[in-house]
Amino acid sequence: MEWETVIGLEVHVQLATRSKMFSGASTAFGAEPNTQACAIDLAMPGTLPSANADAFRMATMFGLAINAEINRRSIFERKNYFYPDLPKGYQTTQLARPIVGAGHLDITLGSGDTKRVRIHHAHLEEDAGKSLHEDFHGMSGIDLNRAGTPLIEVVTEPDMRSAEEAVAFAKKLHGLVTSLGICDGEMSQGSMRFDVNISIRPRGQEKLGTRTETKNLNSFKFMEEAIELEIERQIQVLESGGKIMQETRLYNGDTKKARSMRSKEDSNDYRYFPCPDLLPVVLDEAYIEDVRRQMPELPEAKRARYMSELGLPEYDASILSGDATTAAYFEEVARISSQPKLAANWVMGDIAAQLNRQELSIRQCPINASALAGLIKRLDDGTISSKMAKTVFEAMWNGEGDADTVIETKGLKQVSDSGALEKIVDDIIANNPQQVANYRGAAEDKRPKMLGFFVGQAMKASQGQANPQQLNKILLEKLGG
Amino acid sequence: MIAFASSLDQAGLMTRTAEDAALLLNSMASFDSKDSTCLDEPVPDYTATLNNSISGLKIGIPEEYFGEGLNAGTARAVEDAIKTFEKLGATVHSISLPHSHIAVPAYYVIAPAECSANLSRFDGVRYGYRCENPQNLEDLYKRSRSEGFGEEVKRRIMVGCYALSAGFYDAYYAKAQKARRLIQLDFVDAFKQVDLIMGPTSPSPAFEFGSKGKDPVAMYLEDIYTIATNLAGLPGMSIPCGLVDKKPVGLQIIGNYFAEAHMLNVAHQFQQNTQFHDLAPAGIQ
Repeated sequence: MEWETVIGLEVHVQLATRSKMFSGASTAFGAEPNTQACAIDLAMPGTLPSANADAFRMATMFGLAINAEINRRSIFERKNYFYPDLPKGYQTTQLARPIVGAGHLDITLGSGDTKRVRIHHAHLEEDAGKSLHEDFHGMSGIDLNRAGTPLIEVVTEPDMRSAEEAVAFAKKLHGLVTSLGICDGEMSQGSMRFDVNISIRPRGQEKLGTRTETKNLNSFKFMEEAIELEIERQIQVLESGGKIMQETRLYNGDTKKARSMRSKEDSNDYRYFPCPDLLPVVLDEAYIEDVRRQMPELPEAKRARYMSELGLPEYDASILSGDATTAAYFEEVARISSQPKLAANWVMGDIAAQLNRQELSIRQCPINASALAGLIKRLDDGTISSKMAKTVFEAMWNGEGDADTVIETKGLKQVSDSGALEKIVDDIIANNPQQVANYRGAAEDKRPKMLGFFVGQAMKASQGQANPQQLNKILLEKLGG
Repeated sequence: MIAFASSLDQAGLMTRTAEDAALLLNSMASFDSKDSTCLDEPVPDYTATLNNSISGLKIGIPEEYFGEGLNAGTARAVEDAIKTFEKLGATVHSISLPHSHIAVPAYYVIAPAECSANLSRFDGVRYGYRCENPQNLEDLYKRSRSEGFGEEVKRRIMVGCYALSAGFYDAYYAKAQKARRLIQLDFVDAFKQVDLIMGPTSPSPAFEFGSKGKDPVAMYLEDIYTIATNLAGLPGMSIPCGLVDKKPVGLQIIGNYFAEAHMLNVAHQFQQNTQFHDLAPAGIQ
């Protein structure tokens, strides 16, 4: 039987506010456990929440960016359950009246096709703390630094049909929230976490199959792997005559295995009700217009600008505009070097490859934008060849200094002096009469290929420092004669 | 103030006289920026108007507060008190608060529902009572809470969880909130006609401590005249208006929103002309 996959996502996006959703404690990542949890975050008796206005601004911005209706009146509710990393015994969230109503996001697939993914709603809520089950010898450690961090939870319609589409959506959403500046996008720190709802059905069938939810995926790679694995599992279960149980599952990216966490029967009755400590939040037209005016450039607009103003091809423009930090880095390199296309090539090429290899984010890139621009300038003014540039790049990556320092210490200046190059070429012609004769006797269209031999010899003789353009020019002149 | 039922919780005060209450309220009342539900209203000097004349005061008497279940002695004491106000120049008007009968049921859904969430933080994890030798997380929760809370608290948590549970929310919690709004609108209507509302504080004189512990509903019904004030979010006060069988009886005064100063003024004028606040019930010196 041919199966069709149906995927819906719930994405937790940590908002980049300085303080928490309902308290003044800092939201900075990486502090000593429990040093950023104040009396309110600890749910000390007698404390009351005060909503963070910046979180509303960010959520509103998100809503405007996905063309959603902003609910003029939104209500916080309590979601009740017991867990040690949830100090109040309830999470303050939104249910019946979320701040962001229905919207959509268009994704571009590998085939070049565009697909619209509908967003059911996005609501504001607070994050829980963290439970650490290792290192405590039969006990669990609780870190409440994260407790109360503002989130928007973005809930899509079940509009995606493959892991590729789900990952494309995830990347698009990542690009959008980072461009808006409402999330730092650091997935390894849990700034964006994906819950994936997956079901399968015979192709052509309208009714949805029973779904499972794989929770808390925090990388695009794990998300893709977890989806593929779950689709395979569901097909196997159904084809061997079994039934899919509605359950919550966990995927382990290290072992590449998933397991059931809890079945639907074990799920909590959350007993939602409007939080009596917080009044309904009413946003008026003027507020929404004010937020609209403050919106930064969105990835779509950026992409168009890269094509029209910087002359980048569509592919480059799409990639570079997709992530805000990458876009900012690229723009800086392009501005300082005045070479947008070269800047694009380096950012998408060597920089991306190295970051990928070392699993770093662009924020952690050891070569800053002005240093990379410095390298591009030396390449552009002919001081070094593209081959040398690779060597310089590697040295710069390893912290050996800026482009000029590396070129100096490694003696990498390319030979552009035509006198010196002519001498090298003359020697090669004198020492390889047979090849010269072959070249001169060959048809015009065969010649470019045969030229490679002479270029190779000249490079060898110059220890790789010959300026390739100039060398080419001299070779063509002398061989043609 | 530790939250029990957030939408109903209010700081109250107990004093010998209305004048003392005014003095205390002067130091207590102010805007609290850390309470999102607090209104930023100007705070008057509550003592400044204590001696104003109450001539021309329009007092509303809700007919529902003098019906079945009211102790005859209590009724007499309250009626006498109202006559005193008439002598001081007030006029008395019969009013109706037609949804009074649903106040207790609404309260005993809303208050337990909110308390079931508010008391979740007492879980034995960070502070407060923690059971001995918990075997696992569930055991820690179950025993800390079963051993730490009293019977009435546990009863309310259970009732609240039930009222909010899947499938019952609309029948109980949502309905109780609608009832609450109707009760509030009764008062809004009433205050179009009168300045203050008066009636008995409770249906019978003070009962012995613990005497209704086995019959919680009977105990809840003792709140029948005050609960509506709480649900409507109005200021209310109770002042002594006599003894029945040597047990104290209270006169309830209900004011419109932010009418505390007026209530205190009226109560003070009553106390300037009566001695009830100086009487001690049996067994109290």
